[in-house]
Amino acid sequence: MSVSQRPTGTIRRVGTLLAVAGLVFAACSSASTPSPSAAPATAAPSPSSAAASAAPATPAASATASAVTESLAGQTVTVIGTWGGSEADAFKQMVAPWEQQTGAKVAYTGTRDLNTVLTTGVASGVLPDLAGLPGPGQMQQWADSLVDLGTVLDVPTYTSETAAPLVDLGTVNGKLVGVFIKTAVKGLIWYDPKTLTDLATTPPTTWDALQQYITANKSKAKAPWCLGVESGAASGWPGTDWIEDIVLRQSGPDVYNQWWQGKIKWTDPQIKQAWQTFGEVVASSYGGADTVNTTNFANAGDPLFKSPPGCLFLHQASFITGLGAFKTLKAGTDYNFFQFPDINAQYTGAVEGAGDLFGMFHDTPAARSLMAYLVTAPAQDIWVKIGGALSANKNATDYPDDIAKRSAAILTNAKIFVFDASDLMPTAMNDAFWKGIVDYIKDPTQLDSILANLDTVQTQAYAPQ
Amino acid sequence: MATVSFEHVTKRYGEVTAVDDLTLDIVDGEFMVFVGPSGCGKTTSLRMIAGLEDITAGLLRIGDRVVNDVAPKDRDIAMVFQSYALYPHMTVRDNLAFGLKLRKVPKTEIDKRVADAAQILDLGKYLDRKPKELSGGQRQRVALGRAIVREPAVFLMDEPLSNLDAKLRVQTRAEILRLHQRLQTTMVYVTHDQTEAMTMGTRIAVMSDGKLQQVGPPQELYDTPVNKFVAGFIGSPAMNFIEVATVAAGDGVRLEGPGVTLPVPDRLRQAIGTAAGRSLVAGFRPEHFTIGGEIGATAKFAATADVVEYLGNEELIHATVAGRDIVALLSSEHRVKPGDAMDLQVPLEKVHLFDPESDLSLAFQAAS
Amino acid sequence: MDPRLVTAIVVVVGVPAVLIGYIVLTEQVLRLFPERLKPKVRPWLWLAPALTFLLVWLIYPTIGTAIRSFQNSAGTKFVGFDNFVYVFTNPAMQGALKNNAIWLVLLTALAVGLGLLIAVLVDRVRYEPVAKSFIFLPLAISMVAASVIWQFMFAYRPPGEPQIGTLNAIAGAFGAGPVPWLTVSELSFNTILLVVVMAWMWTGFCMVIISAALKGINPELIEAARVDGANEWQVFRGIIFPLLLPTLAVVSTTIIITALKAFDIVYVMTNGNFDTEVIANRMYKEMFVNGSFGRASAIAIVLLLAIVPVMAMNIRRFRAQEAIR
Repeated sequence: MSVSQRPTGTIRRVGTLLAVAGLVFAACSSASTPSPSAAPATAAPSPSSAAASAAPATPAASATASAVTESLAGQTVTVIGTWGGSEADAFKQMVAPWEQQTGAKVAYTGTRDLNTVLTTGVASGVLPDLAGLPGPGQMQQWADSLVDLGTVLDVPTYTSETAAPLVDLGTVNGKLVGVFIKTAVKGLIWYDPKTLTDLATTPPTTWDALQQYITANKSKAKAPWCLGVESGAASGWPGTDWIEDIVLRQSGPDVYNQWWQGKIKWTDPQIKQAWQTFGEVVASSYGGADTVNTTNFANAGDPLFKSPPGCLFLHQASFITGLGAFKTLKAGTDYNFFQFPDINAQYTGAVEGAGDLFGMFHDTPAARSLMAYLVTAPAQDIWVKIGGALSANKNATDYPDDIAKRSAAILTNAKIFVFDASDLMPTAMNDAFWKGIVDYIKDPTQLDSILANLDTVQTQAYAPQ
Repeated sequence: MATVSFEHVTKRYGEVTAVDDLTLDIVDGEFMVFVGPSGCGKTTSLRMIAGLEDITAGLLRIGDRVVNDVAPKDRDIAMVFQSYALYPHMTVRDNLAFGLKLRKVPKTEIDKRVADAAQILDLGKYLDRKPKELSGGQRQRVALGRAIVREPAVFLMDEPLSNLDAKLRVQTRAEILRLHQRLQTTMVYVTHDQTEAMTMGTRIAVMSDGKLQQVGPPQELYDTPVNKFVAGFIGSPAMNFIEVATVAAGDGVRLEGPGVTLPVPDRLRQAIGTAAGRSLVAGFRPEHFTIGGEIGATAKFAATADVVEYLGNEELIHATVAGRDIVALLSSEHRVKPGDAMDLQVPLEKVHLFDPESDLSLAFQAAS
Repeated sequence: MDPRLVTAIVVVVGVPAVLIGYIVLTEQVLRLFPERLKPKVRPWLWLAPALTFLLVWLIYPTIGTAIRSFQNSAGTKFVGFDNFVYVFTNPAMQGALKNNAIWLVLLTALAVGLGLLIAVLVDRVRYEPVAKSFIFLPLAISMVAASVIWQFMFAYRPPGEPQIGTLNAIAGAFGAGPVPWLTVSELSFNTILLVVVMAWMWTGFCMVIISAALKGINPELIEAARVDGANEWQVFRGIIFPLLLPTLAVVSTTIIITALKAFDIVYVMTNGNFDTEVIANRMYKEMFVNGSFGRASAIAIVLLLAIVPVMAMNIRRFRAQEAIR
């Protein structure tokens, strides 16, 4: 085998050159993706204190100018959350002033599969800087991976500006790991004031009164209730909101809390009763069970505004104003709401709320700056003004309309405040709850077996892993 | 028992004419061989009898029935393919029985026919084997057997011996002939090998370029070929052709060619005519040459031996006559050596003359 | 520079560069070996990267999964067969197992059956290439895209409203009321519909392979059969079908494996609701929603064990076919 040396030599040289070139390119390209920084930034005094002392109505730009202590030009903060579409746009507007001021960029990725991304991320270490957390229940599981926000924010200021329950929900073992940057009120009953003209002045305040009202006004629409539970992998959650509202007002906050903590069984008569009440609603929903199960939650309320109207009422959280047909309609004139009526007079004034919880996985200067910004009133005002969101910061009051104002007031003035129960449950329980709703709507006669199944899941889900 | 008749049958594939106006009657019980070079239309003609090709124009009859539009399975024919086409997933027995099972022949009858065919073709040992376990010759016999059990009116065979080695070919040739003698069924056989055709056919149909050149018993084709193509195709080694021309001589003409002295054969005198300067092609079979000593009028050639192939009893001599190559088959007692000058002769009655434009043999022109 | 452009350049330049560089490197290494060992060592050096990939991304995770399937979620202690017991006793899992059985049988029957039918029919027409392209087209799109398309096909609006779903529009044309197709779990109807979506995609695959095998059948065999007296159906049943059996077996095993792995379609269209749950979806849920790594691993192992015999058959048949050649 005689191979002359010269060709091999040339090949060798060329080959080595190419290999080196390839490696150099690879190194260059990896520099453009943000890598977690090793050194923690110097702990800076929270800028939000400066913002809090400024008048609430100051334009956002000047407030953020004082909030930023250093220029972060060229840096990027990666953020993931569940928002898509118009919600994602709203978030982008929310962070725009911060980007302008600091020169840094926010790279937001929306995914409904938040759980997947974060579960793998927590296991592998590949995580975004900031992330929307699915709920306080999930946040507990990741508490060890989350940065202690006590070092990022001015905790006293934050505590004073935020409703106490919300602060508590973001704390695990004394460590503040999650903050709410957006909230919502659940259990509002929406209607079209043009169809139900007398409701604004005298809305029903008890469940029985509501039922009487429905009977009296049945002819005004095809069905009393609009309901749609389809939501991709989370299909069923609007039904869980219904059950939670019923349990809260029927049995009170103590039972409610024990329930989401897994201390009360699903087959408990009180819980079963709540389901059955919900069943009555499903039975009187527009389009029947099939429509309920196949209609997306964002469009479920559209029949309110048709002529003739498909339904009288829609039960949904405050953020519905930014979705579906509500988006293009005028608050107050085209749509209005009243609070979920009391079932048991004992528990009057009970309110269920929810919110978007944010946590930080990487302690970088840019991430800290962004997190500090997000909890300020001016930042939250931006989204509030766009509509469909309530702020967690008590000082953000730039509500676009009367509807939003009233919603916010409900939250601030709540006598009894509880957080969305399903968001507090372990994800396995939550998932089974959603599925249970879908199955129940499909076939209400299966209630007992559905609840028994939920009990089984309960024993497994709450067991220490 | 059946006759097969082609009446002005033509087969065209788009622009190409594969079979051109074929008119031929195959007699009941005869062994008809279609022979010719590749692309001459012989296989196409056979497949038209089988019904595997459509007929573009003309009528085809099997027996008295016009079968142009009759499906192959209803024509009462059986076919042996060049590649045997045995069903690879079935045993030999099942291969043989397949056609009968399809026609709902009772089982006892099937068994009997299969046994008979196996006996005739000596396949008894192999009935339970699959085709891939058989040799080429055995597979060919199974293919024949499959045709036999059907007891058809006409057997069709498409170059069945091409895939066999020389020795097996000779053997199987004899077997097929034996089969024909025994069954007395009409057989139509396609081959490109003229030796096969000559040895096997009751009659031979020579085809070229889609046209039937000549049909007749082997002897007829050998002795009196109707044109230059048939003359050159039939007989091995092939006929020699030399250009000659008429030359004025006396009150007639005589024939002259380089190195060739050719008196005008009487039987062709009229066909040759009296015009001088007419070109003709003269044909001589290698086996008709002798060296000197012929009695009677002969054509004479001044030849020089070039290569000598010793065949035992005979010698095949490649020689040149005034620069032209010819082949002569002579008895080996002459002991010809390369370079020898030879005085070759051919009896005049064995000389063929052809018109160079029409390729037709002058003998036929004289007759018509 | 746009990072994507940089990545593109890296890939286009770097991949061949690294390949060539590696081979040059191995040749250098080989110089250290005595002459007679070189031909023996060289194949292993060239295989090394591929084997490394296999080891790191296939063997190691498989072993890791197997180990995890015997552990609890946190991976702190071993729990014996508890996870496997869960796999077979959990009601949702049992539903999934039943549904996968339906997937297995129905998808194979549909995809292979239709593929065979179309391959045989299309073989006889002049517009064969066009027809084949149409049937094959759905395979070119992702399963998620197919799911989105078919969601529109199955879309439901309450009776009285205009139907945007194709099926319901057709039903309406015949005077029937709209049907919420994907929620109908009686007789596993919605699972069957999901299988139809998958079959819509994979029939083309089967058809193409069967068609190739069909064209490999010696046409003289068909002619011999016709001469022997077979009509078209008898030719198909007696000659074509038996000769296609090896190909059909190979195609079937591929489809069976696909049926066992079905995920995208179920996840996008129903997320396992209305009794359409499948094993892969359960595995996903246990893993990412519930964070139960142990149970998810157990499901993965069960799936692996279910597929192993099918794969073994596939390989054995492939080897047998190679031997004939």
